[in-house]
Amino acid sequence: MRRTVSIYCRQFDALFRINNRRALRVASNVMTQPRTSLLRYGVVVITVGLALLVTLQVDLLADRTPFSLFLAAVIISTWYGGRNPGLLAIALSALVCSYFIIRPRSSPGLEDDVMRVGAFIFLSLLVSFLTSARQQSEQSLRESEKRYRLLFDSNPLPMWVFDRETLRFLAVNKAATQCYGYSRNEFLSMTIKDIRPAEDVPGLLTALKNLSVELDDAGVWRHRKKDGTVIDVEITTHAIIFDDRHAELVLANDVTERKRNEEMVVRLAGIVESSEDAIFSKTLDGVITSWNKGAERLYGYSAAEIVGHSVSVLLPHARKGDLTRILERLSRGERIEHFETTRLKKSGEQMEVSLTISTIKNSSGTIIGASTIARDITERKRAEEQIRRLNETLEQRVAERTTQLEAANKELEAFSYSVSHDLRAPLRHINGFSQALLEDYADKLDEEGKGFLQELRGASHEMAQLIDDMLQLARVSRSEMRREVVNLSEIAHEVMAALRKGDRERAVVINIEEGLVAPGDKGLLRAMLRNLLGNAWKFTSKLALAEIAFGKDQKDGETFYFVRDNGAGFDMTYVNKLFGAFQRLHTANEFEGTGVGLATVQRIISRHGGRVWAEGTIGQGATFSFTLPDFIGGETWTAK
Amino acid sequence: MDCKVILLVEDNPRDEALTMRALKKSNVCNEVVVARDGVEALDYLFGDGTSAGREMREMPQLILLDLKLPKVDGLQVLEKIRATEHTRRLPVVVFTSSSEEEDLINSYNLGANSYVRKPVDFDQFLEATKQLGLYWLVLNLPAATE
Repeated sequence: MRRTVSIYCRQFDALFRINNRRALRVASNVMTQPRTSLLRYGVVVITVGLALLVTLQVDLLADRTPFSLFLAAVIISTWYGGRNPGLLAIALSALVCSYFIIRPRSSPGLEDDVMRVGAFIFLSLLVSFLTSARQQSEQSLRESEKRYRLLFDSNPLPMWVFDRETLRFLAVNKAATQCYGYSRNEFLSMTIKDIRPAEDVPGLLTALKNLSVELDDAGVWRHRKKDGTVIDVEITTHAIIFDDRHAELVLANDVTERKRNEEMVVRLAGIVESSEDAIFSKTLDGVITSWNKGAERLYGYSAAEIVGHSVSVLLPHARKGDLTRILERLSRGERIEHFETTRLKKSGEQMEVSLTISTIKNSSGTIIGASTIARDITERKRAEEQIRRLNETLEQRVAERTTQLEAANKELEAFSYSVSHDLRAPLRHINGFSQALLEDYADKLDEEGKGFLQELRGASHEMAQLIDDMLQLARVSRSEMRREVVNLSEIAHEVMAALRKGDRERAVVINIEEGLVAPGDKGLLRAMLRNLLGNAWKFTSKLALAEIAFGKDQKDGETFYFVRDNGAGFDMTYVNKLFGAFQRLHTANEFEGTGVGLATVQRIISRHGGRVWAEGTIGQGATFSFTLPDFIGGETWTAK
Repeated sequence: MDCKVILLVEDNPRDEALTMRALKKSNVCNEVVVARDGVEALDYLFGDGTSAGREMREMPQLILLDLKLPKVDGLQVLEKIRATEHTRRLPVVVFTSSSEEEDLINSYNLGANSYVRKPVDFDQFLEATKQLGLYWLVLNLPAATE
């Protein structure tokens, strides 16, 4: 390429030197018109005829220099028609001049006339020869100009000429207009700075100072197209004189794609080289052809040591058979993925590796080798083994713990059963015999003694209640959950009806929202509502008009249910104590209770995957809210 | 009034005393036979052991059965009663401290006629006994024993 450009530039240079002579250019324009023979010979006749007429009219001319005008006719004919019309013009001029001009005027000296005609013919021949020679050289110059202009204009690579002082474009070819998107006229109104990204202009100006007169390989530059796209071009320049100015002829070769590919190759090579994994390639005979740093680290061989050798040195003795199998599969075009095997290091140490081997094809699709990515998985294998061992012991530990839990659960059940049966009996006895004393020995007891017996009865009653509540709490935690759609409104109605039955005298406004259904265990939800509504009933007992409401509401997209009363309320300072077992915010004198009810409520709600919270103000009532999610997590549900 | 026997199966002497007191206060005139464990109860019903040679025509009009008993527990006694031809139709009321779901279900499954939990409060205990006496000894018609 460079050489072609060089030759081309020299010829182009010459072309422009000649081309600059304007007169010649005008002439060549006239001469480029196609002419017929008739026209060419017609011109001969006309010019010779005109010369004759004028000479005959002007006596002085005819007397002194009868051939001068005919000489002009010969020159014009030769110039216009070429050599043959020139010769014809000479012959014709000699004839008509001898016949019409010379002969009528001179009778005495014939020799003198012959000499004059002879001199005319000689002179004419000389002039005609010179003119046609000149014309031929012009002709070949025109053709050469045409050829070289074509080389410039139709060159497939963008080319232009720019002024070294003003940096203006002086000429551009078609490829340049196509490549850059500017029209020829737009180009000619711009400087070469205009086709560069602004930040590259200083660099360009420096480079221009160092341009030599000879051919320059200016390297790769960034140019900007009319549409703003920046391309990478390889520039070759040559200093020329153009229109008498110092100029540079520039050849631009768009290498954007090539550069991108090169960069990609460099980047890919960088990735391969910097990879932690060992990456190497081999031929289908198993000869290693490339070897990255990762491979050096993994196997211990340097690239220089191993490239050109067979991969079999990497296989431990027991695995030698692998190689043939792998190479066979590769030659069938198969890919081997995450093949876990053993390989040898240079030190002779064995290691566990995971191999991924894929074929490498040339541009025509033929398999020419394979690339291997190898990763040391010795550590991973060790970790896996450890996890497996841990899992085993974990399972064992879980089994042990489950057995322990099951035993504890059984004990708890036995305990509950025993409490249920045996703990109540002595209370019943205390109560019963106290009553027997009161009845049968009333006369032997004073009022104080009777009072003490009543206290005994009260205490036994309280403790029995406490035992029942504790048993309920225990039952709530260990009973199996059943899943069904529970009508909470219905349960609330039932519970309130039961409460009303216990005290028909009270004035209570009960407001239960209808149609509230939720998924859950009916028995547990009933126990929960019994506790909440029972509380509401209890803590409004001192009001003239109690109000108890059960309903549904939403907050932050979450649906929740609430039980609200206008009763005694509580101090929010102690709200976190509210749901603890045996925690009470009221004395037994104010409101009786064991402090287990809300703990039971919380246990039930959390078993349903929901949460419960309370808000209250002393003397202004309390609101207990709870959620019952549709999807129950945490608890294993058994189908009803 | 033809006063038949009530069989009270109760291992705790205090409970026995309270029950007897409550029955007396409820004006129940029937003779109360007390069995202090499951074995005694079965012996009485089947004429074995300590009750050998008893007149077997006499069957109790009502059995008040505690569940937690030494040797043979209440549920086993109930099972035996229901499995034997001449005792299977006897009214059996489970009269116990527990209100465990498990006890209730097992008792009904084995054919208990009723399940009454002994209240701790004696007034309620007395009320329960009265109701039991009125219902099972007066209102309820038992099947004739052969």
